[in-house]
Amino acid sequence: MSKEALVEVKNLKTYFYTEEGVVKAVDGVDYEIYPGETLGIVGESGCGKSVTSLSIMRLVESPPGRIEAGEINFKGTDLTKLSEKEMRKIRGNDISMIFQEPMTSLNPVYTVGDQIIEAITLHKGVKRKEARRQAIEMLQKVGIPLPEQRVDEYPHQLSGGMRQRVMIAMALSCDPQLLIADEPTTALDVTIQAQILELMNSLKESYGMAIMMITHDLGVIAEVSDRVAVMYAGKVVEYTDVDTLFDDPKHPYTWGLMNSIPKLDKDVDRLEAIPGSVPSPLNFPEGCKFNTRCPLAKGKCYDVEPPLEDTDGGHMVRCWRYEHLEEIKKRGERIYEDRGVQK
Amino acid sequence: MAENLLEVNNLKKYFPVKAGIFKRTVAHVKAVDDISFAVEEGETLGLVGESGCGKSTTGRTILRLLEATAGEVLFEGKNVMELDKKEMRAIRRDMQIIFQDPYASLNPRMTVADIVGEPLDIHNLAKNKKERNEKVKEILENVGLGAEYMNRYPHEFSGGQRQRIGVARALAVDPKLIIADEPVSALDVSVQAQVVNLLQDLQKEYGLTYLFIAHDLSVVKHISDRVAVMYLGKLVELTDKKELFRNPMHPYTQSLLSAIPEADPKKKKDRIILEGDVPSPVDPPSGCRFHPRCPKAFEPCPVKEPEFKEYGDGHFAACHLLDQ
Amino acid sequence: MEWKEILTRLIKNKLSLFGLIIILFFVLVAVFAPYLAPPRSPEDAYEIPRAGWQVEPQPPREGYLFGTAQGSYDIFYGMVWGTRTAFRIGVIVVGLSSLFGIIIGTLSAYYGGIIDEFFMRITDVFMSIPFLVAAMVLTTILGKGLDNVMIALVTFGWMGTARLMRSQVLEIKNEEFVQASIALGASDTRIIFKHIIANCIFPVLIQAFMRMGSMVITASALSFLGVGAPEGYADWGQMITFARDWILGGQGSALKYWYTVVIPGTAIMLFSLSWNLIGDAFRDILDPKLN
Repeated sequence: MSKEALVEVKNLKTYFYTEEGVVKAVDGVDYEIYPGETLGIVGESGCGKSVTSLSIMRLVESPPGRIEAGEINFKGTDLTKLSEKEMRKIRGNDISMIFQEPMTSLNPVYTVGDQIIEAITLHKGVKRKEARRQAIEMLQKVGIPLPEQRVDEYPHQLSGGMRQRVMIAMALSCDPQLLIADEPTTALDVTIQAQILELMNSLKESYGMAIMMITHDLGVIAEVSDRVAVMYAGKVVEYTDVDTLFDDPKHPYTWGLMNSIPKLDKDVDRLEAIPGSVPSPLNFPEGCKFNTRCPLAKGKCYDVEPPLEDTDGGHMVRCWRYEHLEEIKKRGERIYEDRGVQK
Repeated sequence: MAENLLEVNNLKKYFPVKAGIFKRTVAHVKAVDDISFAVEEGETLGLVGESGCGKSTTGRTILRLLEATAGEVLFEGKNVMELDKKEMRAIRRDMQIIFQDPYASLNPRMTVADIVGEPLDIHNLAKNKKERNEKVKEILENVGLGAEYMNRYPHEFSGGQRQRIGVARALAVDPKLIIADEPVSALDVSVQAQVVNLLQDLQKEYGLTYLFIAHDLSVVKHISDRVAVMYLGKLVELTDKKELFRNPMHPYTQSLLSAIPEADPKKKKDRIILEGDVPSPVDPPSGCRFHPRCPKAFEPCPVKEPEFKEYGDGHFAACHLLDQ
Repeated sequence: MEWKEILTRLIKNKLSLFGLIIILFFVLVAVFAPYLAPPRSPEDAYEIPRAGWQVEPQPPREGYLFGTAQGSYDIFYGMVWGTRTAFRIGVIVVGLSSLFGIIIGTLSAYYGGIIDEFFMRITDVFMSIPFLVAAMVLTTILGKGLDNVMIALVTFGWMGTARLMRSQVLEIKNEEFVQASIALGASDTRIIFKHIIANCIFPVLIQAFMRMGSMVITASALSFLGVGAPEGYADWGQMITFARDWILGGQGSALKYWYTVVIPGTAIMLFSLSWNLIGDAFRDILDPKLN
């Protein structure tokens, strides 16, 4: 893309120093987010997807966590070099974040209005009365019925979906350029999830902000993303635009993920299950980190970690043997051993 | 048609809401409110619905982990609700449960051998410790875990492995019916498929019957033969899975199907996006419980409760629209 | 396994290691009491021998390592055999009252309803009476003597455990592994012992450790108030009682009779301190949030 990136993450490494050893939660991650686009980050628990976003916000708890290396360039400034005070000006103002569990991210002893008003007065420096007017306007924009009334209610009086709307209102109250959404719909029911996703898509258009959508759900990714980074064990393993990714997944892990979920419009007798489970971050294997579960792993895969390489026109893959996967796909075979009962 | 292994008739489960110093019952949460269905021998019946719709309560009430408020549950023709404590304990060998949370459902202070061996101990299915451990080993192998894990504690396992242990425990008594209460929703995507495949293999091998409870329609569709959809304590639709996905009759089922985000970016679906939230089961809406959110609601809906009845070849639904 | 790990962590922690060493020291003293301070006759070993009939305490000297207390009682002998008494009081009182507490708390929480209501109201009644006063009155009614002191302490010492156990059981009984066991057809006894008690015993153990020290202090207080062990019985509280009239020292020297107070005082303090240290360390080890 020729446009200038809004955020450019380069070789980011965030480690946690625990009693049992060093947890390399994020271990050399690169990606860019362009203005107005949605970057989807997908991966399973422990792949480091949440830690990358916390690193951008500089909210990694320290100790035990530490940004070990790398740059996070936001409009030309490296966020890793800013002081806590400078960072506070960026948080909530230029970059906002919403979380999975809206109940724990709202303070139960204040009304939702108080919390939005506080955010507005803090960053915009307007009077309280004006801030209240803006808060009500925001609640209306996120589709909360009777905003004049709801503004004086406490978080526990709202349903999960409504609370997530409040969180979004709060995050957008200062017109951020980047909204980080960390599993924003995981705790919600499907019908409510559909509401929230639609809301985020329409707000993105009207505000022209960029969204970084972190989720484990490939369906959500397909729904909202422009480009996608697939993460596994602290690294990006595949990185490309959303259509290419779903048309032609090149990393065996991505392929496995896509075929392990049942589809509504397609009947299969058995799902392709990736064997085993994610290795412990304390004990990652040598070479490619997916080699413990990969049916294609051979020779080099066990010794040398593959680089994230451009395979064709910006489709980045971290695999030594992705061409081999291509051949299998052409033959129309399954690549994963599909025995549920492992003898 | 196969015989009904389980028949649920007019099942109700109300939880009292108590308030005040004298803890008087001021209202009832109508978690399950008059539902009836049957599960045929050897089939998998999926039970789907959103959180709070009463699907888990249904499962637990059938097993009498919760006492029903009214209704009957017939297992092989016997009314489970009328059994005394001793008979109940005996019949539990035939009906088992797998839980959602692989962390909370295993006693952290017991070894895997003791967890899986517990059912054998309870029902005296092994003559001595040696025979018991032999059997435990066999069951563990059947669910894909090696004998080397026998003396480990649950915290040493990953979520998927723990769920296998939970499955092994349920299998140990050689049950006929297994109620699987959201067995994969707490697991990572790549591990979900392992457990789903395992459940399918075991069904074939042991001729099991499943009541598969989940909120994820795509998983339910994959594993079930027939699917029942629940909304606010009521069944709204029940039919063969292919029929349900081809021809959903109830507006709730239709919107539920369209709300699922699909892993295909080219398919931008025409969404039916439901307004508002699920109402509280303490004070459910009058008439049809879905009417405040229903895009197709008309005059009779807020007034009269629709009947749950058959609209051709085993396709049950409860909606006034269908009677027009 | 689990126990081994707990033990290694107890030893790793400096404070709890200190506690363990002191407890070990007291255990050794109690075990080897007959060698450290040979009794005149084995039948009444707990009878403190007297060096004479002098009323005034005498300082440490040859043959009387810690001196003699009021009435010429041998302080060293009293301290050595009193260690046994301290352990007896601690173990029996804490053991029995914890057992009652565990039974009542478990039954209350597991069965709930009317049983819970009944036991909890009894607990409330017992808790509303001041502990020390209640124990004193009951000991007075039952008559002087260590056994009666222990009965009184057990009678009024189980409520804390019962409440703790009740709240623990209430939490555990709704865990899914308990539901799973019910679904397997397990009996109530099996569920209570295998699943519930096994998972809520640790906080009760921690509390019991903490109470070991305080029970010995309370028993001493009762002795000091004159309702404890009979005169001349080897008991730390008794030793303090002997010091009652001499705490202020003599003419011209406030510290003249220091040995009568400092020696038993230090022993009681160290004893209860060490149990508290171990209890604290235990809590830190078992609290998953601190791990």
